[in-house]
Amino acid sequence: MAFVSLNNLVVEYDDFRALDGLTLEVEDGAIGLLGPNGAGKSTLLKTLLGFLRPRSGTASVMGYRLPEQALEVRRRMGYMPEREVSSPRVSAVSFLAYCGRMFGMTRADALERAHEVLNYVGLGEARYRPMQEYSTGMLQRVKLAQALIHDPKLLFLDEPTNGLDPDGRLEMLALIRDIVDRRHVTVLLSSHLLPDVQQVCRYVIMLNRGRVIRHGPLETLIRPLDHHYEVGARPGEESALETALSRAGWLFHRQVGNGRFQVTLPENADCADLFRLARDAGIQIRHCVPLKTTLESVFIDSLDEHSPEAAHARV
Amino acid sequence: MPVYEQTYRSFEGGPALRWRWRFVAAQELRVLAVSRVFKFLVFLGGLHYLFRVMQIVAFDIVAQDPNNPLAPLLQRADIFYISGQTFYDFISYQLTLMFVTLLYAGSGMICNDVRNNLPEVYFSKPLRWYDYLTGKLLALFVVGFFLTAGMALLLLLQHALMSPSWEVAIDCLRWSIGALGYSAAAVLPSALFILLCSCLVNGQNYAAITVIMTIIANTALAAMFAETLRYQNWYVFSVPVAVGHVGEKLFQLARPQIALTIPWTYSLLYVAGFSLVCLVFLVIRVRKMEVAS
Repeated sequence: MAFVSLNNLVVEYDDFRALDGLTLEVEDGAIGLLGPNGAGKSTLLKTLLGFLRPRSGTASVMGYRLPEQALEVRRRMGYMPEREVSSPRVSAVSFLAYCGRMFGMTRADALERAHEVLNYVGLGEARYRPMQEYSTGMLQRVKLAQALIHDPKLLFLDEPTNGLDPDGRLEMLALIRDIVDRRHVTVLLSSHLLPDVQQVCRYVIMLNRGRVIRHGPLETLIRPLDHHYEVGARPGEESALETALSRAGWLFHRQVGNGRFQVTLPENADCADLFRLARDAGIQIRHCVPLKTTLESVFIDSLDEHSPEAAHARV
Repeated sequence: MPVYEQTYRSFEGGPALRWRWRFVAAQELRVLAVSRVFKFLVFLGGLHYLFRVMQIVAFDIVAQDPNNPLAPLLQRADIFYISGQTFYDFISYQLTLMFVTLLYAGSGMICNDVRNNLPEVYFSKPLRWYDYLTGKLLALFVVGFFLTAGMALLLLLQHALMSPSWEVAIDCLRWSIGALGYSAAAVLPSALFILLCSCLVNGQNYAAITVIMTIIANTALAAMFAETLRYQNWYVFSVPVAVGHVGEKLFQLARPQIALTIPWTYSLLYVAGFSLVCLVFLVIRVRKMEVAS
């Protein structure tokens, strides 16, 4: 069963069409929702929570129709919003216990679970302090904890690494990875930070102007590029390698700093030809790996393909 | 990031609860209970209550004791006499304090939530807009009724216990209904209007200022009509005057202070209509917080 199923979904804000005929099936695992600002990512999540009513089309989450059965959906999923959330005068424990009570937990159970989840997200003794004293990183952890308090099977994360320092970001991504791998929670991660999605997700959905412009498993989107390699020579032989590659017309790009080169071989050449060229020039190749597409390049290509200018050019 | 094997328990889902608003109300009261300003305001209310407790003791025990040397003095002093006016005055004085307390407690209830992006979190859980609104209103009602009707009922109980007779019991029962009705007529529109202002403006201070300015404008406008048209009944358009009119009638005061010649039910209908309008706008606004389109 698909966790999320959308069929020709249209959502509008007054005259602006935020989601334009979205048709999608989301299976379990970690799914990345990518798109530039205004692509419709947050609108999609809010529609799946029942906050926004579709103009037309159908949407269902875990088999429950939206917006009619929104309450059933909310009982089973967790949501970490994009914007900073704080209940300034209460502690994180009290806030989480309150959230737990909304799911029908007893007061004692809600308190116990609040502590468990706060331990899990790594919020230490600060949990007893009023939330107005928390740093952005702490608030981000509380935001994740409130989404996990009822052990959801489906988790919507809207820009979970917003405002975090590099260490905090890595820790947050590791937590999300752990939630997916160990707790077997299906995560729909909305972000415009491509490395975050690449690090956590196995399936990617790219949105632009309210439409899906590309989707698929990460390994099919990021694939090795034919005849593209990254090569490096023995220290001191970099300039000789550059000269040899330039002379052969294979040099594509010189990477600054590490003495490595990106090369594009002709259709009829392969890796062996590269080593042959180096041997003839008296150079020893110490590094040679095939190049892969990056999520960034796939994303930019997709945006370009679906831009109005490209559509106009095709016409 | 956990440095050891840390996880959390599974949860198979709790019972389908109907009255989730009670968690909202309890949380609001819990937040209020730790506030020093709130404690101080309740303490002020408590001081007035203690003064009235002493008044009842003086009238019911000391003044009735022929062996007590203070008895003749207390019997002559009007200030210690217990009647419907005593409880009406008690609630009337408490109303000012109740209003200030509700203003402090309620003016930030919704706008602070919105500023801290809490509705998005609350409504992503099985909480509906009506649970949220009912919980907030209930918290304000509890505070408002505690400071007015709650304390008045305790005083009435004390009076009934200290001078046990059928006449006093019947009077106390009648005044209890008056205390409940008068408090309801004051607390309901106050709580609804304060919460509405909290819903309409961006900050707690702005909400409080809006409430105070509206009350002043409302009373000034009613006075202007009454004086310009030389017809005193125009004063009923001031909500505080209408509430006072209802209170006077419920306590059946011998010497009413509000000089209105229209039936008290008009005042009651005006207060009820005002409350209903506030509730309708409140429902529209809070519903929009959950269902944006």
